[in-house]
Amino acid sequence: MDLSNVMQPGDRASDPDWEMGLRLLAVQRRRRLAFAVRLAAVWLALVAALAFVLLQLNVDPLYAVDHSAFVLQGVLTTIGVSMASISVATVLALLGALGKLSRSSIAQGIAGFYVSLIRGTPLLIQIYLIYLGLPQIGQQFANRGMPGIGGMLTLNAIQSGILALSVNYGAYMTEIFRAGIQSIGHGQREAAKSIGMGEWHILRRVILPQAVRVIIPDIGNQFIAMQKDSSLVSIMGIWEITYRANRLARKDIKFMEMFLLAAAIYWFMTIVSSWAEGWLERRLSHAYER
Amino acid sequence: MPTNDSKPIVQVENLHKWFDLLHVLRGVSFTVDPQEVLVLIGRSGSGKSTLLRCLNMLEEPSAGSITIGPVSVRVEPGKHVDRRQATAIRLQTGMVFQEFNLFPHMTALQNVIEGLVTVKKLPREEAAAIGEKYLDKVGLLPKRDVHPVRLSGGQKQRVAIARSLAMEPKVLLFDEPTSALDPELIGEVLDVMRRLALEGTTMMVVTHEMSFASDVADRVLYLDHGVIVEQGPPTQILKSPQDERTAVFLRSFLESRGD
Amino acid sequence: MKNPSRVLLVVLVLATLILPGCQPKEKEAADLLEKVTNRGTLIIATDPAYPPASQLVEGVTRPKDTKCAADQRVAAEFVGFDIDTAVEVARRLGVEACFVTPDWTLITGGNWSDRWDISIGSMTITAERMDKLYFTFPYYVGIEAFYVHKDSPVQSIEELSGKKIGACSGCTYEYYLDKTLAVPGLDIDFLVDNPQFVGYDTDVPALQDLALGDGVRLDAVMTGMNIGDESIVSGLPLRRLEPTITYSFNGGAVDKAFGVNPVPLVKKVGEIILAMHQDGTLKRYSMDRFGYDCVTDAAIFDLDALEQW
Repeated sequence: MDLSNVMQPGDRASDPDWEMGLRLLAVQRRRRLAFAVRLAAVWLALVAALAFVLLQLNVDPLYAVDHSAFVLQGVLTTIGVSMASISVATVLALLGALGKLSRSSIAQGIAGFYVSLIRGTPLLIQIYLIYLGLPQIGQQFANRGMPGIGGMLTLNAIQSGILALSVNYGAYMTEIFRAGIQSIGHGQREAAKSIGMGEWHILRRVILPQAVRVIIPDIGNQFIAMQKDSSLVSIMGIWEITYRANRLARKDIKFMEMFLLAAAIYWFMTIVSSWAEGWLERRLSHAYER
Repeated sequence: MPTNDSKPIVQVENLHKWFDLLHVLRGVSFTVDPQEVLVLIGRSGSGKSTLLRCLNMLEEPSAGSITIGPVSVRVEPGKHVDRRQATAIRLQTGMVFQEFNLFPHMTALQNVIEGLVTVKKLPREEAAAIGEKYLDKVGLLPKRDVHPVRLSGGQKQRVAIARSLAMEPKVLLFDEPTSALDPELIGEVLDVMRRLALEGTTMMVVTHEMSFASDVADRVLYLDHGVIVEQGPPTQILKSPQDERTAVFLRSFLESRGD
Repeated sequence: MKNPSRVLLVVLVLATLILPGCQPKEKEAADLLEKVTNRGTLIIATDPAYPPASQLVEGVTRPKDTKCAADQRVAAEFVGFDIDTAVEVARRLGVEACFVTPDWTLITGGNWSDRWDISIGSMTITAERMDKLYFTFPYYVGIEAFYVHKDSPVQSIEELSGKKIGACSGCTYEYYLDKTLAVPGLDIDFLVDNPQFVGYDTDVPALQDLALGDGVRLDAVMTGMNIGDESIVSGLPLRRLEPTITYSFNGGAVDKAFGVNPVPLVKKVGEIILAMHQDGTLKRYSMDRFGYDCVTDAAIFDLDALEQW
């Protein structure tokens, strides 16, 4: 077929209505810009309203500013604990999801029990059990002539915190991973089987790379939640944001100031996290865009 | 063209498949000779897709025996097929799906060589060379580094064919390879299949493309309610079917197509 | 990022490495005192939530030559009466004072699993705590008081019977209010009958709730006189009821469930504290930090009445 006289879309030279296209595009751009401006205005108004309300509180904003350096030193601790925990939680969640999807009754049983037990109990209690309880179990091992295991079960505050957050979030993320893995069409698994791939290869080369893309936004969400939940580890004396804000507040009885400061820091961190998550998401979906 | 003295490459005996109490395959037996092109026709629900999928162990047969090349699997009712046996028989067959099922996160070439690298453990360069050969065979070498999302349906299916060919199976199974395609894209896929047939590839094809069946098939097999009703050369089955059921199917099929 | 699953795998492997292996073993010691001397540090638990006994210092750079472990704090990061005392005790033991800051409930509950050696954190000696902990000779006494809103008509402590009284839960105030407080060797006169106890994590939020108005959330707060008076100085509209109450003797505490025998350390620290009473060191700290003498009364305490060993 001769295509030379068929009009191609977006062909400036041969399209007599080219001007119309340009006008429509301009209108579209203007609308988009106007929307962005209105959106920014709403945000600004809300921020201003929030600031106004906060200023009605009996607070001394300058106090918070003056003491922010000390609290900000906790940011690295909070991020470090959260990053380590989300990583370990990811391992646990993957294992949990594989267990739940497994045909083995043992694996399914263990995974189901893990998720049910951990989701059914408060994080704070899990932290106490790991920090206080594990060493006592370790003591029993030590008493039976296994001091190595005893020492291994006596975790310091940071390790206990990371373990508790990991175990806790691993349980929630198990369901995310399960759903993510199941969201990959059955045809993918069949195609992989048809070229003779084994279960492990199918999972690692075909299912997970695709599931990760589905899961990343949810992991990002969990990471944001975790940054805030990580404040619970302060009970073990870890000097993260909440601990520093709280203990500093006691010195001069400036609770509201320091809590607002901590809240602002957390908020900023989560904004950065969701931005990073969006960036990662876009990178991963590269192969899926035309 | 099949030679009469050669040993069949596929041998299926008394194959049964139950889905709960639905008896989809009811004792199917047939053979396929080397280089033969076998086309399976039948109405939907007749069991032709299930038959293909049982040959590849994507569905576990309920009973019967399957021999493909040197691999033989015998299924006793109520027993599971050993996983290693299932993989062995899969390596004897290649499957082309209606929905292509390309791996969307891999380029065309990566799709084609995935099995060579992970299953056959070939070094990457060697696998890539084989992959390029088969991409070339389906006319898509220029698209080697393109992800599936940037390919048309016909191109996707041709990559899928190359992926199956790359594993160098004894027999290629096609499960309605053109049913998900826009009409103008069907031709390029059928062309590739026609060329494979001419080169002597053993194929089993489930399709509704009667012109393909009459042009390319060595034998047409009509399946109804899980049994083979009749089989023979396309001229015989398509033009003058012996069995009333085949005749009714072909008549209604041609009417609905408006041919 | 051609292969996300590989990246994921690497992350997973790294993550599992972060989780701990074994901790380095310390040289075997016959008892806790020897262990502390060998190590060269006394690990002290304190909660810097109670100025002027213990509070944080901002902007401290850690000295390079400190023997304190990475997850421990150095003395310079705190200031207060408890800290002065703790640092001096460590100095007289010939070791460096290092601090950890677990939650108060984790300190009083015992079962420290050898994570720290001693608590020098204004812990009052009670019969309940003696189940889990050994106490040293007290280094100061607590002076407790009841506070009401300045608009409150209440004039005497007895009038608070049946009223809503806030205090930190798990502290001695709770036991005083429900009349279960028992201090070995002391006959306590309980002044309030059947109050409605409102528990708080720590004292200051209770005072802030009381400051919201008479009876809004609380009718009164029971707390240490230092904390209460401090809050009045800082502007809370509160008033102290007379008389003040003294039943609490604050000593160093050591977990009974230690792997090695803790008793020699407890006795040694007790001797040091006694010496600090006698040479006036503690009184100097008291005048420095509290502005009044809250150590001299401790000298009358009879440690032997506790019958700890």
